[in-house]
Amino acid sequence: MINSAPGPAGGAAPSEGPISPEPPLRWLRRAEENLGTFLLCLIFLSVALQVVGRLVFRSPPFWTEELARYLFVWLVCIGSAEVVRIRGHITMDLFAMMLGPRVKVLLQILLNAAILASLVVLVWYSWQGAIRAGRIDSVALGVPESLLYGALPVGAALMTLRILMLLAADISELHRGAMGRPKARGTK
Amino acid sequence: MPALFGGWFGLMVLGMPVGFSLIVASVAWMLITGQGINFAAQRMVAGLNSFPLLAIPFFILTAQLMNTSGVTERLFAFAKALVGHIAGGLGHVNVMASLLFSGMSGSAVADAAGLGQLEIKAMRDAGYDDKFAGSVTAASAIIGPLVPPSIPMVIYGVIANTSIGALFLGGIVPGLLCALALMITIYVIAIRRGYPREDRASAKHLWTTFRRALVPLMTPVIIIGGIFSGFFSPTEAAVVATIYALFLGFVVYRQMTLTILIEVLRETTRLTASVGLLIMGVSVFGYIMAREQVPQHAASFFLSWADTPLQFLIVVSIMLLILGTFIESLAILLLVVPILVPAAATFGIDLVHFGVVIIMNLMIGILTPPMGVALFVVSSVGKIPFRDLAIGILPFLLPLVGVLILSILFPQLVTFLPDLLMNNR
Repeated sequence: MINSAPGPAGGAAPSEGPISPEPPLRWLRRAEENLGTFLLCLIFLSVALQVVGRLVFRSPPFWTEELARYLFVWLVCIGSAEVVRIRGHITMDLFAMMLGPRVKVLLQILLNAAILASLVVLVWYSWQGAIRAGRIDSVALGVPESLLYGALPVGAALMTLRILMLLAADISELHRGAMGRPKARGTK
Repeated sequence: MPALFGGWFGLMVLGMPVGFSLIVASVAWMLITGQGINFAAQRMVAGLNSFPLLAIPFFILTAQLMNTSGVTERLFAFAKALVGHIAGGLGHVNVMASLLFSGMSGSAVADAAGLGQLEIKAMRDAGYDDKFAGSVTAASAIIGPLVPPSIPMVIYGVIANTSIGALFLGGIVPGLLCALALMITIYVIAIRRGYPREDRASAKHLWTTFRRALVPLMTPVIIIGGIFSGFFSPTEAAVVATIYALFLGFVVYRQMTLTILIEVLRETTRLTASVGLLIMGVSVFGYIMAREQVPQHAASFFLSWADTPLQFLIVVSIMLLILGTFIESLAILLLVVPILVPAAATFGIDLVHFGVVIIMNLMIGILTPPMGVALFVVSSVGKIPFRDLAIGILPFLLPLVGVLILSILFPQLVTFLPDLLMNNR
C-alpha cells in the first residue's frame, strides 16, 4: 500500500512519467519540481542538524523541529500540484477502465471541473485563514504563522492552474475526437 | 451525513483521485450546511503539521536509495545462498529477499517495484511460470510494512496517538510468521508441481554473500536499535537511515550518481506529496465526521454487534477485508482508524495489537482483486497480465489470513516484544 502512487519506484532509469501535453509554462514546471526537491533536502538537513546537535553537542537547536514541519507542509502543497500535472495522485480507476476512451475523457473533464470548483473555494478561504494566522507568531521560530498557513493558498492556486491545464488538454482531445489512439496517462 | 459519504464514495469510484474526492465532498458539505468552511484550510494544514509524519518521506527515500545502489542484488544473492536449495528454491529466495529488504523499506509497493523486478526476472530465467513468480512477489511484498520500518504504522501511530516504536516492535513477529507461512505454501506447491531447487550453496559461498550483504543489513539494526536505545525518534531514525543509505551508495558501493540521486529525490517528493494530499483530504473530512459524531455512532454500532474484544476484532477484520478488495488501502487506514480506535478502546483492546491487526488486514487487501495495488505494481513491473495474478495469488491468501487469525486470537504474538523491550508501556 502506501505511496501507492504509480511510478517505477526506484528504477535507475530517469522516469519522466507521461509527458504533459502542454509545452507552455515550462519554467513553472521546473520551479515546482526543483522547489519540492529543494524542500525535501532542507527538511533532511534540518532533522539531521537536530540529531547531530543533540548527540554531538548535547544541545539541539530549538527551532529545527518546527522548521522541518513547516517545510513539510509546503512540500506537500507544492508537490501536489506537480503530481496533478503528471496525473499521479492515488486514484481508483477500476470503473474508468471499463469505459470507452471518449466517455472516459468526458468523465475526466467533469471530475476535474468539480475539483476546480472546490480548489477555487479553498484558495479563497485558505487565503483568509492565512491572513488571520498572520496575527500570531510561531512558538519556536517566531515567524508569523501565515508562513505556515500560506502554504495552502499557494498550493491550491498552483493546483487550480494545473487542473485548468488538464481540462484544456482533455477538452481539446475530446474536440479533436481522437479515438482509438492510446494516450499516455499517469493513471493506474 | 449519508450524502457526504455517498458523494465522496461516488466521486472516488468514478475515478477522482482519492484525496480530491474527500476534499470536494467536504467542501460541498460545508458550503451546503454553511458550517465549518472557515476551518477547512486550518484542518488541512494541521493534519500535515506533525513531526512524526516526517518519517514517511525519509523511509521512502531510504528504500529508493537502497534500490538504486545495488543493495537489492546483494540481498537477493544472500537469500539465494541461504534458502535456494529448498524445493521451490527461487520462491523461497523471493520471500527471504523481501524479508531482508523489509528491514529498510516501509512500503509494500516499494518492495514490489524495486525488488520485484529482480525477483521476477530470476524466477523467469529459472523456468518458473509468470503466474507463480508474480504472485509470490506480490505476496511477499506485504512483509515490508509489517516488519519495521513501516509507513502505515507511522500513520496509524500518529492518528491513534500510539507509540510508533511499540508498533514497529509489534509487527516483527507477525511479519516473520507471514514469511514462514508463505514459505510453507511455496514448499507444498513446489512438491506438487515439481518445481526445481537450486544447488546447495557451500558454506564459503554463503559466508561471502553474507559479508557482501552485511553493510545494508545493518540498516534495520540502526533504525530499531536507535529508537529503542532512546537515541532517535522514529523521524530522526528515518533520516539517519537515509544518511546511511547515501553513505552506502556514494562511498561504499559507489553506484550512486548525482543524476540518479536527483531523480530519486523527485520521485520521493512526488510520492510524499500524493500521500500528503490524502492526509489533507482525510483531515478535513475527519473534521466533519467528528462534528457529526461518527466515531461515537460507530462505537455504539459495534457494541450492538459484538460483546467481546474477540468478536469486535473479527467483525472489524471482515469489514476491512471486504473494504480492502475495492478501496485503496491507505485511504481506508486514514479514514477508518479515527473511527475505530475509540471503539477498540471501549473494548479494552491494546492499541498496538489493534494497529498491527488493522495493518495486516489492509496488507491482505492490497493483494485482493479487483483493487489490489500490489498486483497492479507487479503486473506492470513484470509485464504479467493482471488476470493471471488475480488467480495466482489465491493460494497465498490462505496462509496470510491464517497468520492474521493467529494474531487476532493470540495478542501476545504482537504485544510480546513491545512489552519485553519497553518497560513503561
